[in-house]
Amino acid sequence: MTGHDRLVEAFRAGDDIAFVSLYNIHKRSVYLFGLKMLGDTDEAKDIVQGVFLKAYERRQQLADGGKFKAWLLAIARNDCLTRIRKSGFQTHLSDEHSELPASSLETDEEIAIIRRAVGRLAPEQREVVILREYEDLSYRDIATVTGASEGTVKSRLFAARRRLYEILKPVFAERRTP
Amino acid sequence: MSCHEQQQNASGFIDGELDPARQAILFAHLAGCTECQSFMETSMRIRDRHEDIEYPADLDETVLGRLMRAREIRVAGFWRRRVVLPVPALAAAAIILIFLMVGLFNRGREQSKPAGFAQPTAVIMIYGIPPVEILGKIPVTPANQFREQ
Repeated sequence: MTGHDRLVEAFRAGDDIAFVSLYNIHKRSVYLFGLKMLGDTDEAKDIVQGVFLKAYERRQQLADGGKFKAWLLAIARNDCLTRIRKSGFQTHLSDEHSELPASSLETDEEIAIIRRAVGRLAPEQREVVILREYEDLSYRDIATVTGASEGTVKSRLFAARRRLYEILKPVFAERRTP
Repeated sequence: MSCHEQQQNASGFIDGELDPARQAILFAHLAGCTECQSFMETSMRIRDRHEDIEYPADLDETVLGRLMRAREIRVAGFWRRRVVLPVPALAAAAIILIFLMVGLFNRGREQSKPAGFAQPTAVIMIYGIPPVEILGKIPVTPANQFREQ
């Protein structure tokens, strides 16, 4: 049993200090996921608050202590999808008409372009890209978070990469040209 | 194999999920296909471009403050909760309590001795309710005589 597993067990047994430790370990992942899904810092902050409050109240519902991060991200995912649905699928990321600069990209600019491109993806594709590329979860853990099969995760990830390629190809092609 | 299938393999390769046999076929294909090379390069670039996201400094206080309040409400709610029992259960509990008290009172009278004095002989603890003391008589012993003073 790892130190993390022991923290999770202590949290499930009602140890509040263990929960604060788990919060410190996973807060960035939950914030990053909320920010990448919704594209707004205030909304990402709300997601973090909601996720940890729900986790605290639902500690008895955590079936597998080894999947604590996936459990947190599953709560975050549901909250994000609820917000996206309520906003009529309009997020701060999904500006379909924003122009992508075609040349002289610096790293920061390239990061911003990729972020906007990820924001253009459909929510079910966006979430798998974030969980894979930024959270570094395995197909199995992504399947746990999203409630989909591993095969579905794999095909959604490929579809998302194809879509990102279509969006980014002209930008990166220009960048390669001297 | 088509470019579509090879790009699926490329996606699996990026994730470390492609077996060596298909990996060899993929690399052979990439050597002669600029479109699949471009797909692979773009996908790898997305992976490599990680941004440093700063965690908001005020969020720790907000989250932990809300958790503390939730905890206080939970604890307070436990003590303020109302226990509702059906009438037959309440009646049965009352009858048992009366028999218990009468039995203890009679036993105390039978066992009373001149040196005895009144003090609690039994304390009934009911969860969440202050202790109920039932008075009777017990003999003075070295263990309890100090309490009398």
